[in-house]
Amino acid sequence: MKVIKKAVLSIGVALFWLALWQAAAMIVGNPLILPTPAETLLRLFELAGESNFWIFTALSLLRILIGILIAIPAAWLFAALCSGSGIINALFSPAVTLMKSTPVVSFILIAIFLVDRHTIPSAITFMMVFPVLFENVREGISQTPKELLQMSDVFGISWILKIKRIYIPAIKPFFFSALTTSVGLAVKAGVAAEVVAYIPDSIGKMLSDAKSYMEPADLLAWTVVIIAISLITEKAVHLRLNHTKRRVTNASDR
Amino acid sequence: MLRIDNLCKSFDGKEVIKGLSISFPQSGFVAICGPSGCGKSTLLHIIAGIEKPSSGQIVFDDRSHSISMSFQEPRLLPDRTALQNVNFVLGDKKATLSRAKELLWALDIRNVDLYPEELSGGMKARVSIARALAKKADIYIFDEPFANLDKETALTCVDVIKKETAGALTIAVLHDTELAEKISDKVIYFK
Repeated sequence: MKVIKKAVLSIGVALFWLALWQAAAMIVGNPLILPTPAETLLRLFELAGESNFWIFTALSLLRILIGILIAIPAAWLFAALCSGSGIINALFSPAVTLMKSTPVVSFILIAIFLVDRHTIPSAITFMMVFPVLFENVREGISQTPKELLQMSDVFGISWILKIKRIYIPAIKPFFFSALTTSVGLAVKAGVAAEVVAYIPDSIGKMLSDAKSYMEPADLLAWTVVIIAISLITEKAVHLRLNHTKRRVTNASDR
Repeated sequence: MLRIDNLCKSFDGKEVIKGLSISFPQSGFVAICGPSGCGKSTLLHIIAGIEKPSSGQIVFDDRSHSISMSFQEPRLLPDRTALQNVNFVLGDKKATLSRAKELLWALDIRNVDLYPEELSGGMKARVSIARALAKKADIYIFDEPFANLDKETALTCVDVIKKETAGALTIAVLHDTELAEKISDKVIYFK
């Protein structure tokens, strides 16, 4: 019953915003400025029928994924180093603060000069995801229960087992919460990098072309794709997080 | 085997232990009794190496001594079962699970797959005792191990502890002086 109520509410909210979009498009009355939801959806289906659509989407997703996959171990490594050494922490913290406060477009423009054009989306994704993950993993390390660490010291537990059984379980909630927040950010930043750097075979290039050739239906259709990727990736992280929680709960039910 | 010489310990200027000297026997069950806040747990923490003394020293006759401990609070890993918590100090290996299970069963914990949040206070205390017994040591330390247990269960635990720690030194802080006198080879009273 609760699920049905939730589904009805979600459909109602979606219909409300689509109606608002439809009304705005009708008021504007020019599909070259604002196409209707139906026109956008139709264009999305047309694009989905082209093989390039799936190739460009997959390539964009791959570039973003590479950035995230490099950011994850880097965040864990640097968070561990910074937690273990006050000097490394003092040296590294300003760099992370700088990464967090620099506008994404500045990073993209700097990256155009510094790195190979094709690696820009991955590099920008990394720059967006790394500080969020790093700070949360470092927080997780600092919140690790001291009494458990003391206990493991008394029993002479190896450092590998300490990491596996005490540190990782303490860090996990912080890490997954940060990952959920940052994957949506990563998709948006990655596509923005593709637009500014005009990366061939990418969603960003298609967006840029749609703007240049005055094709607002294409622009909106690709925007829908970006939103969908963002939501799917966030949901995937959520599912992973729930799976981890469920594994503990199920095991406790045995 | 273990000697404490003129030990002092202060926390934020407040002296908890002042000029304490004790000699412990090579083996046997030694109970420490005394009112709250007299430094019993602090002494155990210093022996276990968790706290450092402000002055004085702890002398171990054997250079390579090993210590195992059951803390006042159980300090169990929250996302591991009772069995896995005991097996943790045995290196978390499959091969040692039977030993961990044997200790839990001896202490009357039959449902070894329960997580700490599903255990009662008394069960957690017994898992903590089992974990301390799992590690082979020269000195076993128990900080109020029977605080959450009824007398009958406490006596069962005493039997298991004495059997498992035979030949080693066991130091236990106990608040029940009657029980301490009954089960210990030596009782030390703190003021």
